[in-house]
Amino acid sequence: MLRARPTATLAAALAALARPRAVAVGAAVGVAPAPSRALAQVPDNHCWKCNHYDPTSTFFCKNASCSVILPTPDPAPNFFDLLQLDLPGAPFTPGGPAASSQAGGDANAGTDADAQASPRHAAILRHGFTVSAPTVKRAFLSLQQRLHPDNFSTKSDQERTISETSSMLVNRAYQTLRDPLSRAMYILDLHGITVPETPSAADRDVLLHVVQALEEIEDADLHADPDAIKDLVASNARRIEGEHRVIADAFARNEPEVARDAIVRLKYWRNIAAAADEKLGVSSDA
Amino acid sequence: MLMATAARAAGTRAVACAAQRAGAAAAVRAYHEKVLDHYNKPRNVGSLPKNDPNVGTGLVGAPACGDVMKLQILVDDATGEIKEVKFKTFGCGSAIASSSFATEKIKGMTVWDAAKVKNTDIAKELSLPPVKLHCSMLAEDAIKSAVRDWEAKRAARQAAAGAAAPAAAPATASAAN
Repeated sequence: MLRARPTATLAAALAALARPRAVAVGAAVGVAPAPSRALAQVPDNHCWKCNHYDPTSTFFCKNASCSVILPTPDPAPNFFDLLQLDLPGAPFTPGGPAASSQAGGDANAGTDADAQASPRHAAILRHGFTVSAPTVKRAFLSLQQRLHPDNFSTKSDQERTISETSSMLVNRAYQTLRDPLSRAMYILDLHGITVPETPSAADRDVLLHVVQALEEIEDADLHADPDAIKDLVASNARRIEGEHRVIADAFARNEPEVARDAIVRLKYWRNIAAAADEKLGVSSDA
Repeated sequence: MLMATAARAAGTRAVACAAQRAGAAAAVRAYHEKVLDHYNKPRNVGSLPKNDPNVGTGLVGAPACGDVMKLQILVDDATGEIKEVKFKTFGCGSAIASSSFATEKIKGMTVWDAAKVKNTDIAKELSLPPVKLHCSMLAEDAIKSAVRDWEAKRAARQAAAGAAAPAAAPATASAAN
């Protein structure tokens, strides 16, 4: 089930919140043989203002007398690292191989491949889907509290620009990871797998069910019977939960193709839910 | 005036079609109107009795966006002519326009000609931009799926007719050998 580990993730999130200032702790956790790779990233980990060097710096310079906002590496780290989310068996480590996997564009293919083989990256692929929406939200709010451009209205143009860029990126990471469907799509994307654009008549039973459900919603007379689609909505919600479990299991077993098929079905169930919400006059943002 | 109303209506109902509308607007004006016309006044919306032996039901979905399309044909068993077409599409504006246009196109055709309709014919007529080509593919596949369903029903009927006269069937089979 999606929230099978609520206490674990809660504890992990709190640990994450407590950690950002604890410099070298991440290295001590020993997720991967990081040091040599961290050195390879030197040019990107120098503070643009005070030139302080710290491979574990994220978002802000760790020189206490400077503490200036730092630009997010381009291309940006993956959204799980960006939001500094802890995963089962693979907590977020600032400056770790996965965290800096795409940093700097130093054209070092070996670095990228190593990062993708890291336990952290494997954990993202296998367990990233199981992060809970509250965990993602907490991580987002904590970062946004520090990065939001409102904090930089009296600072230099450069700092304001950095804050706008980082804040926007963190926002996009949050929007992507908070929702199970887009989160699953994102992980599928990290696997290098896409959902086909072309039509499919493959699973006729699924399509038949979808069309019937959508027709039932369309034809329902809620004035005559306010509960006309109540059962349909309830059973569809169970289908959605069931698909979440299938996706979580498939990713955990490293079977992204199985996850992809479930994601396609999930899209159909979500469309049914959206049609029902629209019919009932429920905001889909709720 | 009418155009503006139509565009606004389409905008409120199908956000996903912004790219399609922008693309169509830049293209020939007549095509632009055609998409909007089919979207706002879709032809042949509805259902045919799916258990009718002469009705073929096509069902396709677009995995990338979750759109679904049901297209049904009522076929004259003797001539293969498509006498009636109905569709229901739950999806974006160009998917609705594509299927509406497709129903008009294949009505009166034989099933075999209808199965040859290409998505490019539909896309060209409606001037769909590249990002919306899969909508016309959905319509093409829906037609093919409906024809297949009708053919499967007919084959089953003929097999049943053959089974009803068991003496004749083995004779034909041995004659073929």
